Amino acid sequence: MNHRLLFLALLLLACCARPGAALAHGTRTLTWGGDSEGGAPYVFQDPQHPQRVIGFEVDIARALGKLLHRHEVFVQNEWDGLIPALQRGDYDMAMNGIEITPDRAKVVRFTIAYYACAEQLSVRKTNTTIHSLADLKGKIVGTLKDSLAERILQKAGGIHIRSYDGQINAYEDLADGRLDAVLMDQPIAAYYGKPLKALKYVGQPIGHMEYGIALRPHDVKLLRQLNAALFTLIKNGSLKRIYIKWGMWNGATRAMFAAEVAAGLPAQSELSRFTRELQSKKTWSERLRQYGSYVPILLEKGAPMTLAISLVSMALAVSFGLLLALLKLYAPPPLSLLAKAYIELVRGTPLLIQLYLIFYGLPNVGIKLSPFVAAIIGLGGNYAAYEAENYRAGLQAIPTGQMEAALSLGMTRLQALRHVMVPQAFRAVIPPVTNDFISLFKDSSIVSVITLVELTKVYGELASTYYDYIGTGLITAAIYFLMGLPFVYLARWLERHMSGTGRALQVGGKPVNAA
Amino acid sequence: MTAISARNLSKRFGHVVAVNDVTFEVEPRELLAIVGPSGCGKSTLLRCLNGLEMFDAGGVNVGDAGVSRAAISGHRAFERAVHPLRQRTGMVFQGFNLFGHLTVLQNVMLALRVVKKMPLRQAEQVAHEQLARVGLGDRAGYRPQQLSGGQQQRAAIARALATNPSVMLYDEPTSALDPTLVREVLLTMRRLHDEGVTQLIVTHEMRFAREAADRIMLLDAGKIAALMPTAEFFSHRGNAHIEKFLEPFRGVA
Repeated sequence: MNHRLLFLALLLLACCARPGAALAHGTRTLTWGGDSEGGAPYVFQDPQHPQRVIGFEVDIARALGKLLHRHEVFVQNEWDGLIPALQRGDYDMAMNGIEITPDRAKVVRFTIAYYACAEQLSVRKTNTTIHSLADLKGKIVGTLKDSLAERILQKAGGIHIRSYDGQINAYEDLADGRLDAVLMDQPIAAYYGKPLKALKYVGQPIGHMEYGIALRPHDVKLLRQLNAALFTLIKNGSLKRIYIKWGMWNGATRAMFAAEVAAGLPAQSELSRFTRELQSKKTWSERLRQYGSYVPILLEKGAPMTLAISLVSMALAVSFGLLLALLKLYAPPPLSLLAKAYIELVRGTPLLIQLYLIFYGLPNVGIKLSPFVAAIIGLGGNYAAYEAENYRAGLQAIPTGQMEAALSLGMTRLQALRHVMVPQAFRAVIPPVTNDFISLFKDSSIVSVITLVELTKVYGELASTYYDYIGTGLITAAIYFLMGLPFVYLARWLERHMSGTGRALQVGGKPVNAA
Repeated sequence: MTAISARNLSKRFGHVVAVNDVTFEVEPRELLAIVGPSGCGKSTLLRCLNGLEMFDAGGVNVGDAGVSRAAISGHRAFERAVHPLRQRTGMVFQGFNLFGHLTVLQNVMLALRVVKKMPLRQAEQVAHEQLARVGLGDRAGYRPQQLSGGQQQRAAIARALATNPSVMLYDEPTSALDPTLVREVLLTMRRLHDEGVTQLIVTHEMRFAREAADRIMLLDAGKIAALMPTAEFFSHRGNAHIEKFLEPFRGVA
């Protein structure tokens, strides 16, 4: 019995070890992951030499490499994926303003903290009503997703939170008046909020957070080496010098360093690591229970918005698309050319860029749209181009004799279109339009990039909180699938109902009974 | 007063002159059969009369409405100008062209509702009357595709009659029909003739033309080769065009 337990434990350990990681140890390099798109002062492209990355974390990595006698190599990785890529073995460690949180500590091992700071609130200079967190009730506040600031705002309650992927857009939206305030880590506020003339800091720094370097749980040797190196850099004042250079030296970090020096190097016992490893493995029932707990969150926070965006966008696409098709086919040259150009341009450019242009670009010319309206215009306007082509094909498939018969009865071209051509085209385009609706339904996930919280955004939040992309991913996909099903059946019913053999239809409001 | 007339009507497609300086008049209550070899321009001539083809020169009069091509430039202006002609004519096509998304009754009602702005009840009543007139009183709720070809063509005739046109134009109304179904359509047109409806019929049915038409117009290469009373047309000697055209029918019609 004991043997069997031991064997299982060893098997688990063997599964966790990765050949790639072992290989990385043998070499003389120290690879570290970060996102240079995250911006100053962490890791960012040198404005003078864009092919080179600089930042205080680049300086720290260099100092660590020197102490470890290893050549440090930066690996670019999207911020959201820093920890999954670490687990996958893409680099030895992740260092990019990663806050040490209990959730993250469940899946990675953190070094001692290398920096401490708080959150800073910014508002427009003209604002006189917001002085602290307490004044934010009912206000629209921007922050970065999955950050301490976001959690502070959520905990405060009653605040309309807009979670951004990047800080630049958030501060610009604040300056433009789209947001009432922005709450972000002090270094970010100092580099992106403070330089904007229209903005000012208000209130005391809020909360306390510490950045640590993340490692794979089993990389105990590297952890010990890094901790020793950091300890040295703290004691000999190297880290302090780096922070002074970047204008980041603060009281919180000074106090933290003092405490860390007083405590000495943390001890790492093999036994504690071993037990931790076992504890972190969840049983299947625990895992299923956890997955089950995601469902209500996804359904409440994400699904209604996904549904609303899809339905309203499709309504816009179907009506605007019909207008485009009619203009293209039947309008005089200037209008038909305009419709043609619109269709070609919209179909020939990525939806993502269209959304960015509408949401972040239009404010430059004075048009500020709410995220919801921007999403509707972006998605609806994009799909309208595809619907227009569906209608065009449908209209052109109708025999010319139908139009001639209508004209010979004394109808104008417009009346013939409305009463004879379009109703018949509608039936012909039901299958392709339904297909487009189902793909629009899934494409609605893309609007998460303009701060809209829908299914995919909620999935991203859950997945990065629990570092569980499989469970949350499968559940989210299942929700999309189940939500899409009724529309598939509705489409089939419509197709059958409107194909028109011996069924009652309306003319002038009164159904005529079929034989 | 003539029911319909054309003056110096011409229409060309590229280098082909389909209708070449055609002038004629048709009296009210008359049945004129327009005959001629394939490609002689008879369908094009008929389609010029209600402006489905934009003619290049000449003019058309239907009752008190007239269009002169010389006064018009551009498609849009032409479309506007021929609208009164279309409201005064009804057209029946070789391929029926019934609206597939509507029932037979709705096909007949549509123009009444849309063009004449007739109240729903009245439009239904008129449509039922017109269907009864062509013998389809019991097929009102059917879809066009549920009817035989002959029934479909009779429904198309009812649809054209419903707006009360002063002239009916038929473009080879029986050419797409099974031989067994031709008779019911021809009978319908004869009955309408008895009722006093003015009709221009492009047809290959020489026997029908001989029995029912008041006058025959023979077209050849876009020109009128002969236009005369029916009896005279079939007994005519010495007109090379007529003799050549009638030759295959000798002994048949």
